[in-house]
Amino acid sequence: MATPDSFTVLMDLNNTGTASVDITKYVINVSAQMGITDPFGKVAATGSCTLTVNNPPDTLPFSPLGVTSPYYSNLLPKRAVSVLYYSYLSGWTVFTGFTKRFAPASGKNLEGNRFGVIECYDGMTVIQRAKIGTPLRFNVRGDLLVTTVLNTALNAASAQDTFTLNMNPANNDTITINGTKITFKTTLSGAANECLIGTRREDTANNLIALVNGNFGSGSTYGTGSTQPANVVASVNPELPTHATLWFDEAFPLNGSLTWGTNGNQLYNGYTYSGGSVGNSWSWSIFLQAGTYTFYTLGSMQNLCGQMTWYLDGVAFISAQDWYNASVLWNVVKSGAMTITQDGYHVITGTCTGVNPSAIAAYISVDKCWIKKATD
Amino acid sequence: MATTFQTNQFPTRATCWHDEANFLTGTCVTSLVTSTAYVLADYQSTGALNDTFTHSVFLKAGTYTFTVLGVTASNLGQITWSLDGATFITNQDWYSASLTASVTQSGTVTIYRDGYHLVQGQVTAKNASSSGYFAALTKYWFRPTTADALAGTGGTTFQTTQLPTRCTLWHDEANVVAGNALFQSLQTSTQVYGLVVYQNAPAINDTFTHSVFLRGGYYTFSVLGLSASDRGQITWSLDGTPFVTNQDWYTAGTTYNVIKTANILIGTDGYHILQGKTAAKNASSSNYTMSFTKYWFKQASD
Repeated sequence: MATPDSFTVLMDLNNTGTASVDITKYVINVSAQMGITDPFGKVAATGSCTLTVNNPPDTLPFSPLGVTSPYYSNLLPKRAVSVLYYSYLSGWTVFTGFTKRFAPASGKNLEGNRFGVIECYDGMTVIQRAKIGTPLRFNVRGDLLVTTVLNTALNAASAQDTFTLNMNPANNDTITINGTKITFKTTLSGAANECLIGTRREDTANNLIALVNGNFGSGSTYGTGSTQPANVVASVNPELPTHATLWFDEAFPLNGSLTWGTNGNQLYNGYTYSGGSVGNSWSWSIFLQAGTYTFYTLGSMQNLCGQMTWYLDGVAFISAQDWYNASVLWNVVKSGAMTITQDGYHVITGTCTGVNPSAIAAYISVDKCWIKKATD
Repeated sequence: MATTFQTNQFPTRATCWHDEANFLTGTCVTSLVTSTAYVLADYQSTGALNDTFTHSVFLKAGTYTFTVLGVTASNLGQITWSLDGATFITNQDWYSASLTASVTQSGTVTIYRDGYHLVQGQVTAKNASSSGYFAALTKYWFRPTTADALAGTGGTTFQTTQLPTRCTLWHDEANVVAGNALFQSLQTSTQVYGLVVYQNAPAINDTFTHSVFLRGGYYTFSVLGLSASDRGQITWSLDGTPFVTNQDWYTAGTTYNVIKTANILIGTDGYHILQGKTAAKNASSSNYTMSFTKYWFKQASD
């Protein structure tokens, strides 16, 4: 049972991660400095504690010379420390923190051995000494960036949510962010909390971000005097590319060979041609934003060329594209529509699926394919 | 606005054009080779042991076939290739007693994490019979060692610090916004890649666009084209903001394979729109023709 007005000092000297070893019997003095005493002052005052401990000559428990001490291998920084104060049956934790430094004290005990000093610091000091990383951000005001860092350090509430604009909002559509109602407008009326609808949903999203963050654009892309929702930092996921180029000499041959043929009549000084059989097939992968595209192919038409079917993720989007012509035609560009329903990675496959009745073989002679939207 | 996605959606293909590499010593010399694919093989001006060049790629983790297209000749050296500092091909030999066009050599490389990676080539040796240390290459590319598979699941959360820092745009793939359609002009004996492309007939205010997908940062924007006495002046804009004004392609005589460059700061990650607009012409020019092969963005170092 604890006695009135006594201290207990616990320390992680058994490498368990918690302050569980009672070293009270060695402690001859506790000097503690409280940390934050006024949380509303919002000042990160740090706390510290200095323990003066005895070093009995048989084990020298708090000395680097005490190789027989059970504590010897755990006299290390960043070990948990707790100091508890007891008054009869009640007890209070008056300090929790971590060891910082072990050092000899100026005084000596009766056997002539030096006292030890254990300097400790509290959790706020740990945060002060840490480096807190945040994702790379552009176009974020300094104060908002600092707020983000502080919220991270203090584990403060910093909710995250995502708005997805599947299409451009209509005039007078609204959105509420952390209590602030924002109205989308085709033309700003001059009122606060209005967000200008851009040409594309991506433009509108950027205008909304400018409003929420208070970025440049007040009066032009969002209403003057708009409320920046408290504790909110807006960002947009990067828009994915809308253009891809597929070189035929880099395709993966699934069935049949691919060979380069130099020819000065063809752009890029030649073309790559397939094995010449129906069923020859090859693939590429692409990384594109969802949307409606045109798929172009640059090649040559000849009397020995076959018909191509093009697939996106296994689904045909151009069938029996005919590359047959009785005489050679160089630098022919053929195209067809292609729809991508999901952002990201996709596979394009080309297969020679047939021949024109007049063709004498089923070669495919192509330089490249490319995919683009009607407008950028 | 794009939806959130995982890195399992990252690309598995990357093409590096050697004329766009960053050369750590010397400069890039583009050599017109009419017998080879794409009509060019590029080499480092110094032609010395330890010549080094870099490229960056944006790829998903996996095992890839790395293929190099170039020419072999009697004065070429051996290249050691590395990815993020780890060698994966040692002393790849480009020597042959006589010039051989459109040669490809391949190796395998494993990429252990998704996103941005540094490719480096270094001339580390030469065949005993070779007279020099040049490396004459056209392009090199990555593709999976197995067939292009449908997207898997998993991966880590997308980080914008992993976005690419390179982008190549082919002028024959541009979108015309104003003016006549693009015309592909065959130039297989004079212009690298064998073509220049222009709006035909040209006029002032001809405009075209391309889209790019890049990490924010400082870039060099390069344009490969053809200058002549009937060329105009072009203004380049990114997301509506001009960064090169009245870039003049007029010269009294015809000059092929001209490269003009400019610097640009891209402020945000991701998708951007590049626009070229014929803004004016030199007083001596007879027309507004703007004929290009390609244009590309890269940073000063990969």
